Amino acid sequence: MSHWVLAPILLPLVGALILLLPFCQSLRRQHLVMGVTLLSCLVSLQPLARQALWLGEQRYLLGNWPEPFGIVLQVDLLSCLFIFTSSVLAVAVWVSLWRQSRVPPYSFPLLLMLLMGIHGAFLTADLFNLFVFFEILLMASYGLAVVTPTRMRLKAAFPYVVVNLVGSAVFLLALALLYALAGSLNWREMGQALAHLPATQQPLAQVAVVLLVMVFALKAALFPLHAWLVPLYSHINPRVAAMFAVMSKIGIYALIRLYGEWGQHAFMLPAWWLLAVGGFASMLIAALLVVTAKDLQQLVSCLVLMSAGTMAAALAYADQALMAAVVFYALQASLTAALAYLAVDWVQQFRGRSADRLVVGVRLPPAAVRWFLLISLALVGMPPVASFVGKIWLVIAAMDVPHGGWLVLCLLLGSGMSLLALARAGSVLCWQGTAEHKTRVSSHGWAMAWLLGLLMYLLLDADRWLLWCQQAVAALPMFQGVP
Amino acid sequence: MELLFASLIGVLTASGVLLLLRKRSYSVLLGLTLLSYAVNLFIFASGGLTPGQGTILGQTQQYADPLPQALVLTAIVIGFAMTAFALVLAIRLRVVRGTDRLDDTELEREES
Repeated sequence: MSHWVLAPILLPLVGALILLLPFCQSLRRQHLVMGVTLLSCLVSLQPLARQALWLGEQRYLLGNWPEPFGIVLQVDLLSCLFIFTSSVLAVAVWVSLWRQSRVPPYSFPLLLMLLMGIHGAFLTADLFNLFVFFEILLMASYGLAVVTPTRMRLKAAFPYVVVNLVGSAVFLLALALLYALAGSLNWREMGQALAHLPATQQPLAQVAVVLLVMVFALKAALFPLHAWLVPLYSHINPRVAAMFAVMSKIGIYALIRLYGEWGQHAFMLPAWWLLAVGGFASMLIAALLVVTAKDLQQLVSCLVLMSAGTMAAALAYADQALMAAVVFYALQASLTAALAYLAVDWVQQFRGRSADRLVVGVRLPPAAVRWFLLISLALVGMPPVASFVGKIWLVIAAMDVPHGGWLVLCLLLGSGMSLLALARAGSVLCWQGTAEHKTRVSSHGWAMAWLLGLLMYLLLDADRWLLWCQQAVAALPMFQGVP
Repeated sequence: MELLFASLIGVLTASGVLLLLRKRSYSVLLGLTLLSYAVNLFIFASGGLTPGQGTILGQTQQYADPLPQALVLTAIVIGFAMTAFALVLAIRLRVVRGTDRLDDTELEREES
């Protein structure tokens, strides 16, 4: 196995370290280093993705330690799809900072470290290594959340930090319990060992798996661990929120990995119910919250919560077609949420005193109204963007599954409520208030065009991408009949 | 031995969780610290409690499991870095808000 596997992890790390040198004090040099790092990440993904497509899953042994003893990195199509999503999001956030004269200190190194943690979490096949990469990305996210510390931001960040620290403690508890039962930390080895446990130890395995699901549910903001998401995402810098849009998808990825690797075993049975309850409840709570949003950023945050709940609820059906639809939905939901947050940032800067609050103030200019329309269509799930395809495929796949009607019902209810909220927001922002003729120099347009272009491309090429998602899910042990 | 160890972990977890639910930021941080002590002891115990056994070849007849010891070291290091950050955040929050209470102040209730 070639050493290309390490590129998505090492490139952001090296970039972050170079950015910390005194050599990179000027903003121009920082942008240069960021650009080189991000583009080389995307380029290095190509050989990995090609190998994953044609040769199936590749496993890379760190330090050349053989499988049961060493830490293993796995490159399969699922990892490549998610790494692609996070890389393009990072490019969008970088592009949106182009014309900014002052960037908060250390935001670029923190962004690259976040990317390193995200990529590592997608690439690892070892549970403790997953914990370590989760901590790297959490630490970077704590820094990014308060990189411009205002009172509301600090106040929203403290519960986020505490809740995630408790989550890390519970993750370690689950890990230790699973290691004591299974004797290994590798997903495959552990699955085999846990499936063949004596009957007296089966309940312990169930408890440990439930603890693990609670940790991933915390990351994915599922009920009842959803309360941190909306306050945090509503108050942080919207560009940072655009990058965080992929972080709730990390929880979903971890859940896909957990259920994909171990789902066929008996000890996972209580865990499926947790997923269903958490997902549906999150969706319904978000649907109710979205119409009460006081500003645009809070509205988008409720929609992020709704998409997280949708994905988890769809995962709970344990159906292959539905899981493939969830993978595609995760891709386009991250891009859509990031697009919306970049628009929120532009609106905040444009409207001055009334910021993005849904009150009558400065009216958006006609070009911005067109963007707002496109972004609203994207958030609700209508053409001409890929979120339409994401929703349609979820509905189609859910119709073939017993009790799938509940998912379709909640999905449509959520879309209806978000449409209502967006229409109300649009009427206040676009059609009421005083018009101002300000010219602002910002590069949001480029970043939003990049994301919108990608979404439209995903719509046009949707057949191929869904095929890849289906191939990615079919490679999981749950659907391969591994005993 | 197992009873002592399990009781210790239980007491530490209980104290940690109790402190986590308090309204002052410093109490919450102390609770996090106690919880991380408990979790680290638990990880260490997952390798089996084997008194008198070493982890270097040739030292003893039977060996203790070295992997949980490595896991505990990693967890301790990550834990203290996180606690340091949380402490600085709590101090900054205290300075900016004027109080270390974690619920809304009068001013914030008026603002919202």
